[in-house]
Amino acid sequence: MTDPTVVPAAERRHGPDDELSAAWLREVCLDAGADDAGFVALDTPGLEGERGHVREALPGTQSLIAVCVRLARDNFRSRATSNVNTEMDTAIPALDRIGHRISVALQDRGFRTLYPSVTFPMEAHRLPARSWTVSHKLVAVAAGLGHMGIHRCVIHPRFGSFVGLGTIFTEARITPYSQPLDWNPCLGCNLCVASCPVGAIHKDGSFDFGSCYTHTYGQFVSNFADWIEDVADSADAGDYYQRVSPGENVAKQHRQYRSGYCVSVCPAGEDVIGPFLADRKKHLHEVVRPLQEKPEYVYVAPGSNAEAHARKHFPHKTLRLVESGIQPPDGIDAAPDVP
Amino acid sequence: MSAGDRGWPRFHVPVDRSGKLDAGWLRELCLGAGADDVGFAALDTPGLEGERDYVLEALPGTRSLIAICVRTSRDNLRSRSISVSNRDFATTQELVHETARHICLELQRKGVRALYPATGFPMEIQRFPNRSWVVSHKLTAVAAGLGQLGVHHNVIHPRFGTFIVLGTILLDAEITSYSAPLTWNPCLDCGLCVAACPVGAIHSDGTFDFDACYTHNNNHDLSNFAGWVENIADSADAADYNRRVTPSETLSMWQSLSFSPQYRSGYCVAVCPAGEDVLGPYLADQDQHVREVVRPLQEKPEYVYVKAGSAAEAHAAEHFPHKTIRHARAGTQPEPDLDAAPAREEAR
Repeated sequence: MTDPTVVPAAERRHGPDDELSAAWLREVCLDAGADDAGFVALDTPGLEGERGHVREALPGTQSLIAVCVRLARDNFRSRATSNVNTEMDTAIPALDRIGHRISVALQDRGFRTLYPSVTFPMEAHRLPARSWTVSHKLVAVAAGLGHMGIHRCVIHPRFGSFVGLGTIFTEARITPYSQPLDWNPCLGCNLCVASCPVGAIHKDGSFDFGSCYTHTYGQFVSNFADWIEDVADSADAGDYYQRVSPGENVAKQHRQYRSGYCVSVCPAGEDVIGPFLADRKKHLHEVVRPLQEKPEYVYVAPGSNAEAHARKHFPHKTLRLVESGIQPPDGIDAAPDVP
Repeated sequence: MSAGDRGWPRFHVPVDRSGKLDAGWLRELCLGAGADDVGFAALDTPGLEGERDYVLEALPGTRSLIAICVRTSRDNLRSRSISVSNRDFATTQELVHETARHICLELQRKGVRALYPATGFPMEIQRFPNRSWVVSHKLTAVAAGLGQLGVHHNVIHPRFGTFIVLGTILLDAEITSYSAPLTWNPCLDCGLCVAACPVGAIHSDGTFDFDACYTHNNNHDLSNFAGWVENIADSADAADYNRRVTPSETLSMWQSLSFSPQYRSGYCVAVCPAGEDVLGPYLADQDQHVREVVRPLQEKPEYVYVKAGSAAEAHAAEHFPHKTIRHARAGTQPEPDLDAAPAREEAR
């Protein structure tokens, strides 16, 4: 019997020189739920470090689509960390679905297209080294969605820091590509510097990645291996509770970001800045102070700048010294393989 | 005072439970809810005998099954980057759940009892390692005409190929007309899935080594969990633990526990060229398909989880010497005793 699938499939091929119109693609992205979208060629200067990882995931990638969704701003500003995490856990799947819808729309046009995770899963066998498929931040900047603020998060000219970012890879060329924003929406107000509990953000623009990672991800990724080692090291339950407090024990199995304070306090962005300009004291009183004054665990490496910073500026917060027991990856498939 | 005088809505909306559901209406409902294709099977359809007790336990009075599918992002599932593949699998599963939920809400509004089991997890875990799923989505999809099982034991849809996620809805109503199984099998018998499977679970003669597939593919979720906990308990200290479980394995376990189960290999799906929407580029240039889709998976250095001395171990050692064999610790899995089998209709 003749296989009935053969003929129509052959008609579905696109030509090698087919290009996607940026205007059409933008509508696809907005229909899929994105609040903004931009397009960039993979060979754009600034994305050199992404090429290997991107082409490993999708050989033949020519273009990257950057999308963003707005976040529920006051969830993100809330002193109650669970409100921040609830919005993260809601916005991230929404972004992943946008990636799914755009990928399927382009696959229907005959273009190989995929979307990597907005956050997780990552290429776990490369943790704690680079395990993400693409830097959504670098792509967003190259595609004109915003610029990095002093806090190292992308600030959108309208939505400010309150955006989630996603990226889609496609073999299609797009005409025209977007241009980076020609100004930086970051105000240089340094509220992020003042609110970071571990002093990771510096006024001179430098950034202490280790301090940020140790604290913010203290209940994420790396702490898990440390926790399992604590369990293995414990002689019995009593010994275990000497190492892990009962309060932390409950938190251990529950992933949570510890601090998004740099985003919470950021007044930049057309949609955001009005109330801040109208009454700065109110912004400090209602958004910044509650985060600074909150008693909480702060996770730092012993002897680090973060420890000194937290002791000096946040004496009412409780320091937890984290021996970073994180080990290098196994070395299997350690770097991108590009056909 | 009557309800009308109080300005209350009518609490009881009489519904007609006597009639059958119109198949055309139901199909439109499912497609409108987000399904890419849909089919209907009566529970007493031959081939579904093994599903009967489990289905009736979950929804007493079930008469019909609705099979739906939602397309995956094809190149996500083909990617050598396994996180990209797992991402879309999990996202499409969520979309299937939302679609199924929407269908159930509409049916319950019409007075029809309806429910949807999970596409993957959660399962009736108290029955593990025995059958813990409520319904076989694959058998239902085949009975409802959505496709046929390929050599790789996944359902191949005539148009979307193997790039679909399946869902099932159980309902207590009859449907005016049921679907017929597909009269041909879209599987091409090309053997690419056989060649891509790192543990040789798929055989060209149509037989399947479930244990080899499960031991490797589900190592970072279900199949290895008990063994992993045993490794922690057996460890004298952290150094001893790290000799048994590598840092990457610990973080992979974290990722599966914290997000969604991370499958080690969907290579049989990734390489499958079948289906009207999928086949074109493969027919046009088979070498390119092998070079861009099949080879990267075959050549990828990675851990392959096998039972010591198994056929899977021999297969991996012979065909994939550049992959690293790891002996999986399955852990003790006693036969379940509590609520081990479906509650039978006659016992209720």
